[in-house]
Amino acid sequence: MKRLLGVALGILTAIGGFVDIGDLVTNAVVGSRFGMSLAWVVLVGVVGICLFANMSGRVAAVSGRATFEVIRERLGPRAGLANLGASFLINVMTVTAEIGGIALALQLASGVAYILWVPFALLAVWLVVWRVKFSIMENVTGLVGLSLVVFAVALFLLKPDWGALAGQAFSPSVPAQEGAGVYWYYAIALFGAAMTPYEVFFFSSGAVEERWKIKDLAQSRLNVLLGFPLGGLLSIAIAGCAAVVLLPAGISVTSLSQVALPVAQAGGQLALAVLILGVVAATFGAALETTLSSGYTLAQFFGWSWGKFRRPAQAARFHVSMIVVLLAGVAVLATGVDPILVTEYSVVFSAIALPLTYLPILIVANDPQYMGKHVNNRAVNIAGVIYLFVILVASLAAIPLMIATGAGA
Amino acid sequence: MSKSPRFRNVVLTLLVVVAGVLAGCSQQPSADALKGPAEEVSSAVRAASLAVDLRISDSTTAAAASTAADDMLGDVESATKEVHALSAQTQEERTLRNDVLAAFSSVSRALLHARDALSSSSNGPSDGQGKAQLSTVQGELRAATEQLDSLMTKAGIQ
Amino acid sequence: MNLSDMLGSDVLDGAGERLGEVSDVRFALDAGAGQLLSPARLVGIVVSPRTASSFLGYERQEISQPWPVAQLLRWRHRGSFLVLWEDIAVMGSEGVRLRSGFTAYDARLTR
Repeated sequence: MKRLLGVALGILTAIGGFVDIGDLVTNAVVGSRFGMSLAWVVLVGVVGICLFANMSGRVAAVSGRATFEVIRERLGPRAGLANLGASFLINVMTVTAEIGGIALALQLASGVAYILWVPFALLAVWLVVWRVKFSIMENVTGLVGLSLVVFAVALFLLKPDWGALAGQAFSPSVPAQEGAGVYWYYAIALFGAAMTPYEVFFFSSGAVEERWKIKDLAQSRLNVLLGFPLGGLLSIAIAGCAAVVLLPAGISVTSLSQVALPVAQAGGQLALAVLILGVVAATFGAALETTLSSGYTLAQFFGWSWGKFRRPAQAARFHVSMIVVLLAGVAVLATGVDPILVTEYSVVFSAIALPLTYLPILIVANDPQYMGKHVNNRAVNIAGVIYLFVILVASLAAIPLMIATGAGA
Repeated sequence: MSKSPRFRNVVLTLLVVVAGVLAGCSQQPSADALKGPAEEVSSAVRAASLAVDLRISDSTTAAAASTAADDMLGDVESATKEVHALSAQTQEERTLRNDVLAAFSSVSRALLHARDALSSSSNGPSDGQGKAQLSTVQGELRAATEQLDSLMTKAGIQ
Repeated sequence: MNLSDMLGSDVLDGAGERLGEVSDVRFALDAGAGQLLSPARLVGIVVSPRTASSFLGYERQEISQPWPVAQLLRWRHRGSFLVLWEDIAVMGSEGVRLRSGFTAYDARLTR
């Protein structure tokens, strides 16, 4: 019974933890501009994140090494440092976006300008990173974040023409008023949002934090294989709500307040309240994960002691680096830059940096010195290599598309 | 490591040329250059309209609806700035730009009124005065939408 | 001299012909850990004709998975060889010069 509860909890937190500000914004933007015609990208992204999260979890459980320790050991100091630089920069961008997301959701709840909520969000994130136990932090934000299911409920309440939605999803085409370049640009953004590298840093470091052993792998695989796809469905529901209400009305999403409109229309103030709760929890959870990820990557690269299982005084540099990251994020927000814009760029830059994270994982998961008999089997390797190719193409196409389309304008 | 510096110079020159070309084009207020900002404003005013509708039917809160109106106001401001940056050369272009700016400013005015009406509607739209105010604002938003739409059709932006 | 500064520097043979770049440095541990750390002895340098980038672990012969990645990296490093410390004439900021008549050993590691 206790075991069953553990499994259920794991799956639920994986669903709630899947969606962050990147998924929320990108899916809503895409739904309001392209309908369901990019839903296939979410599917591709979810399969990819399942594949690589599992792989990195297995590496962590078998070898006891988190992803960035592996990157440092396999790439050597120079290539590793370049990798760290890119990953860290994107992490900071994502932290910025998530904190902005918390603040925007609180503005939606209160009507008070988001910039005034930023210091509050910063303090709350820091306190949790500093004080709260890892498992409690994960479970609470994951479970509360599950209230984003309101998007799926809202989609049902809106009574859409399911056939038309499915038609858009299954025979995708570029809508008449949008160019093909913009379509592919958003495809890459959506892919980056689903496969954000921080999820893998966090997942593998979390495996070390929670002291996974090989026997825990079955449960973690179940969490990932059920939780992430359900989280992906939630993403598609977000796009669906925007496609049903905003696309026909000629509204293309540029702000979080617009994302809430379809939900309010479907379920009234109650649904709106649940939505805001869900957004706060999801962005808060993701802010914690990205902040910790920046600490993890730095500490793992430089060989500092890290982890929330240690007391802060025993992992001082780890904690200091997280404080610096949080302050950097807040400094960016203090310039008055639109958090939604930061989010849109962060998912595209994530897509650009994907090979930096996923190639070393794939290589080490094949290395018997680390993995013993738990090296990748043939099927996983075939899938891994196919994804590596997709990731490379997306990464190389991202910047030219960004320039050609004016970042999707 | 051993890439020749000449290669780097060629790449740098190419980048500078591309940047120059990109910076040099789309400066005139043609229908093409106005398309982006006009669509942004058209989307913004429609979103605000939807928010007011939802507030009238008590489906959304004053805070959420006024936040939406405020965000839309920001979008219109940035679109206005974009159009201001275009430099008109012919009389025709000048007229088009001014018409677009006029339409933007009536949207902007309607959005301001909408935001104020929405944020002061906190004791519920059930009170008659608030409701009347909201429907006045809704009329204003619709009128601004129509003005913009007809301009966009006339100028061939769409 | 810092060893990581050596990575990527040019390697010339005795006649001054360019052979490639230093892509790795090999050490051997001669004894188990003693009172001090076990001493590491520099065995030699790995010279790669095309790239100074890392082997990413594929210098070990038995590892050949995942399929195209391993093969691509091997191919990129084809022609790499190991030169023993004894065969190095000069090692300095201008690069590495080998003695004439040096021996090029297989750079691959076997179990």
